[in-house]
Amino acid sequence: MNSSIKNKNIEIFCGTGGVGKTTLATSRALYLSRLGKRVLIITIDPSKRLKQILDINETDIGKIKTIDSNLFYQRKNAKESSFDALLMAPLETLKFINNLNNISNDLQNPILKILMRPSGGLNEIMSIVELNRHLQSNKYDSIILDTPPGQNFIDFLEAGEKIHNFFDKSFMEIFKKFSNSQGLKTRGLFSNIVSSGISKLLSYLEKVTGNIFVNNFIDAMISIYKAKNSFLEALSVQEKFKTSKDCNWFLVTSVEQQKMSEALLLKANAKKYINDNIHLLVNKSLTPFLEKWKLEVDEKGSLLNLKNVLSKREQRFKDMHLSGFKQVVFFPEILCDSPQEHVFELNKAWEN
Amino acid sequence: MKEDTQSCLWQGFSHSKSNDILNRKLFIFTGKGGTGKTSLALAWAKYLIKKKRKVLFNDVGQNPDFELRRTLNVPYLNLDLSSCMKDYMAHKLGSVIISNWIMDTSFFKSLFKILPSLGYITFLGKIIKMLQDDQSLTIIIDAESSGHAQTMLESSFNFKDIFLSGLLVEDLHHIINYLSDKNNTTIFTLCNPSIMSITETQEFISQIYDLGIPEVYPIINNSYYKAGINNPPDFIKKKINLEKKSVKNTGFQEVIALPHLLELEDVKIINELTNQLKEIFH
Repeated sequence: MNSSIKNKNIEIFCGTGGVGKTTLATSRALYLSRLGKRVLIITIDPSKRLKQILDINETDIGKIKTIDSNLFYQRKNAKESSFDALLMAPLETLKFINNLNNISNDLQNPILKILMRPSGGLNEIMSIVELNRHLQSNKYDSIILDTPPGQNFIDFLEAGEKIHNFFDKSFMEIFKKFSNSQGLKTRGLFSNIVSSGISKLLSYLEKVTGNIFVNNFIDAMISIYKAKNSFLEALSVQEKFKTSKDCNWFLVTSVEQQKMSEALLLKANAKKYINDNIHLLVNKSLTPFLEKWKLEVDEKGSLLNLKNVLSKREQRFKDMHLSGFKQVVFFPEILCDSPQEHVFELNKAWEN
Repeated sequence: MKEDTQSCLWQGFSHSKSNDILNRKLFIFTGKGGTGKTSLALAWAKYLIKKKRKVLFNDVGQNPDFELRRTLNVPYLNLDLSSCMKDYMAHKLGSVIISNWIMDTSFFKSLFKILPSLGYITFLGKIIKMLQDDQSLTIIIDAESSGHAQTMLESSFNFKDIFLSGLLVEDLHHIINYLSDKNNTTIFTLCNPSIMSITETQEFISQIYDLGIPEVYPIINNSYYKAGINNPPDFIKKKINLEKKSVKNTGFQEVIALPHLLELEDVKIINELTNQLKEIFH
């Protein structure tokens, strides 16, 4: 079957919602740490499942936490190891960037606050900044990225384009003018920049949203603009996504959900950002149970139907190795309710 | 949120309650990823259409399966966030040309990507206006998973404090009032019968309730314990026990639960769900 997959500098887990991306990504972190690798796992997903699995407090969000492998196999006598985990909090990343660039910001700005909320729109961009920062530190053999589901994953991939758009030429001009001016909040400022098309844009925006929004918005944008070098520098990391030397891709799906076409669509949409080193991970497979299940002669009827339906669902994924994946790897359904035990059991499945 | 309100919210629907719910104008389906939101939202549409209601269906931020919608004969309202924003700007500025011009600048494109709330607000605004213009209409929104649905629902509440002036303020209050009026709006949030999934749903319900949106109901989907399997093999038995334990430990016993369906095709699943809804809501 599959020989175990060699770790890379960057390992990215993606897929539709509820397939077990976070649990599988965590099991990968545990597995690699047990091989003696230095591992960091970053989760971008605002649903914060990792918080529950890793027993992380609200106050630790946005900071690096070291996770002891004992958490996953208490009383199982395995060799001890540990890995680092980071749950994305965009505000913490912004604070880091501000310190780096010597910027003092009004973090109370209401637009900035909304932007910094989980799923507030900057989460994906900030995660690229974090990834770049920790790659540069050379502290880790592998950084595992647990990305948000579906369309939000594409948002993550498009983060680079977003940053470019954001610092688009006309946009930069206007903010240079604003940031050089004194008395930022005086309305008169708008009339001073009549020549620029941007001032017209802002005046339309002002008409609809009111000038308080526009002023807050400009303040927020200026403070982000000041840190633009940190953002633009982070973009270089996206080049690594495209080379199989640096990056493993794991597209996670689940037998339970039968979303084959969604998985293929995600792969197709991501094509220009990723490399051919993409593995399909099929989670919650019942095959091991179905193989052991022998129907008695008198148990035909509805139980036979149950077995046939469940087997057919498995088969659909087995056929997907033809769809351009480097490997299709099955992970068994884990029938227990402790999330830590899930991670532990799945970590064993990476071995073979 | 107080505990008594909480346990009250998590009860099932009584007969009189389910009749009430049927009279709502706006239904929003959300929940954790992969819990079957789209299938249930479509089944709900089919169920209401069978009751001779005039129904329009719309999803948010997804790649809809148009063929499935055609097969099911569910009328589709094809609204997306950016076209709503364009229309809104055109309406407020009194010019389609200006609106098209500003919305196509990279400045505004990135603004709306980075602040999705603006799109959500105009999207909800447009849907609510349609509902008020045509009293016979019912709209079903197949929303994104809970985190993003929360951003959508919160957006008008968050922004009312930011837009203290401007043409938008009045419209924001309009949206907030509509969402907060339980005679108009019902939100269904789906979960699987696992502790993780239920806990997340409970957090979501509390947060939405705290915004002032009163009618948000959980639904447990995909439960093997409701699938009526006689004499199941050991691994299914184990699954059923885990499910029952999760439901009990989270206090979700009274919540409506739909069975895991042993079907392979979407259309069959949706038709079966429609039958299930008929039994629950009559």
